[in-house]
Amino acid sequence: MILGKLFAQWLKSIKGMSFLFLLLIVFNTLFDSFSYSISMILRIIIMVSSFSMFFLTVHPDDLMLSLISLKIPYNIAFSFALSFRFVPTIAMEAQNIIDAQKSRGYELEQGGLISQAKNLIPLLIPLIVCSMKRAFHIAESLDSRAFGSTKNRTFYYTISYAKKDWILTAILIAFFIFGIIVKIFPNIIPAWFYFRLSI
Amino acid sequence: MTSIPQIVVNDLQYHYPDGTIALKGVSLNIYRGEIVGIMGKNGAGKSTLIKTFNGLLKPTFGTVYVENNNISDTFTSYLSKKVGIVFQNPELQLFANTVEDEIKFSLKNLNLSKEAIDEKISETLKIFDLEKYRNRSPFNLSGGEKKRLAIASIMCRDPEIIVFDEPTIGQDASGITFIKQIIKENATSGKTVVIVTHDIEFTIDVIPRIILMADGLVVADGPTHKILSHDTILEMTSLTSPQLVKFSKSLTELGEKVPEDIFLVKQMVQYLSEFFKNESRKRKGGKP
Repeated sequence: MILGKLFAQWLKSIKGMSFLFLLLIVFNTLFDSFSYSISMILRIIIMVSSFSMFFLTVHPDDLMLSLISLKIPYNIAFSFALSFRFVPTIAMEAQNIIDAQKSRGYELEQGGLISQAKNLIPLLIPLIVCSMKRAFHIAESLDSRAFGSTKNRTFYYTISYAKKDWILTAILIAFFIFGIIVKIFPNIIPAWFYFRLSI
Repeated sequence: MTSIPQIVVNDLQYHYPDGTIALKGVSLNIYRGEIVGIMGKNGAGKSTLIKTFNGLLKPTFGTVYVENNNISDTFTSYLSKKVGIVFQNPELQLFANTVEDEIKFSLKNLNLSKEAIDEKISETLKIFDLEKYRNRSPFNLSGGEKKRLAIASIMCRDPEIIVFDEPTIGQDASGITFIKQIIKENATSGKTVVIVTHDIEFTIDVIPRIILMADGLVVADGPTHKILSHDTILEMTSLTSPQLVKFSKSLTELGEKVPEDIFLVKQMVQYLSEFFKNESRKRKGGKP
């Protein structure tokens, strides 16, 4: 069921990019070939879905702990994890700002490119101001909870490499090396393996 | 004329895209010139309800009519001329370089002439006592002044219906007095005021009619003094009864029958003075 939910979310993000895909198909077919445009789209889908898989499955706290186990200073790891945690908050705030401006007669879509850019000012300035204020508040509340008062802090949870993690890493490295080899010596793979589009 | 409601909400349901059902079938009427309070716990659906009044949120099921416009097929840009919502946090809408520009921005889409805009700005700044800050940056104002400016930037558009979301939060006593005065003035000039609030003492002073919400439904709708002296209703919505009601209840527990619909200090003083006069008369009458 969790997988199904993840898949639905992933599908949503792909759906959101369908306009970009359409553009890619049109322009690449005009300047190159249809098969090239398909391969470009597949590349983008892989990039987007690997990112979204990562952020949909990895908890920000786990990400932070793993960064720390990579010997990255706690301050940097913490602010990295914190920035991910505030993405939904800022998105919600942006929606509230749009609502507030709309109820005093603000209209999002009108005019040419320059006036549209100008149109974003009433949204961007409150967003920046509120985000800055929140950043200062977070800093203050971190200070008041003695953030960084001791050099070696301990963690309630710790993560370590288990056997299956090593196996997965080994498989991924093997794939990576295989990919590089194929790129350098394309003749290793028999010709029948290639799927060719002849348009 | 007054028998036709200005806002008609009929079996309104609202489902957020993530699946939460914020409103589960709300029906209510609001009439011209009324001051109506919407109260209830956090998450009862109050904010969702008021956002449908100017079409920021469109009903999932059911209908909302504002002055005979079905909001489902009316643009917010049109409705915002009729309904002005003052949001809780003024900082969400302040962006301009000066206080004057902030109000000018609100007037931009009303098709007014330049002279009319200038006149309106001066008038609004005067009403809201912001004239001395005309050329100051809105970000340098105090919390109370920011709130005043936010209200001003809505009121300068002369909406028929004004909606306040938590107007008293973060305001000092003088700020609250000012907001009370603005609300009363607008209601007497025939405008409809809808207020979402948790502030009981503020409610008693300003609001004659309360709509109580719980869990996406309207649980009570009626005069303030009736709703705020009703124990089970208050318990349902985790509101505490006003201090004077508590006071008269504890007097009743002591053996004196005190009416439970005393909300104003004046009324209580009058009641008590009459009570003591009667007592002393009884004693004098008993002595000889």
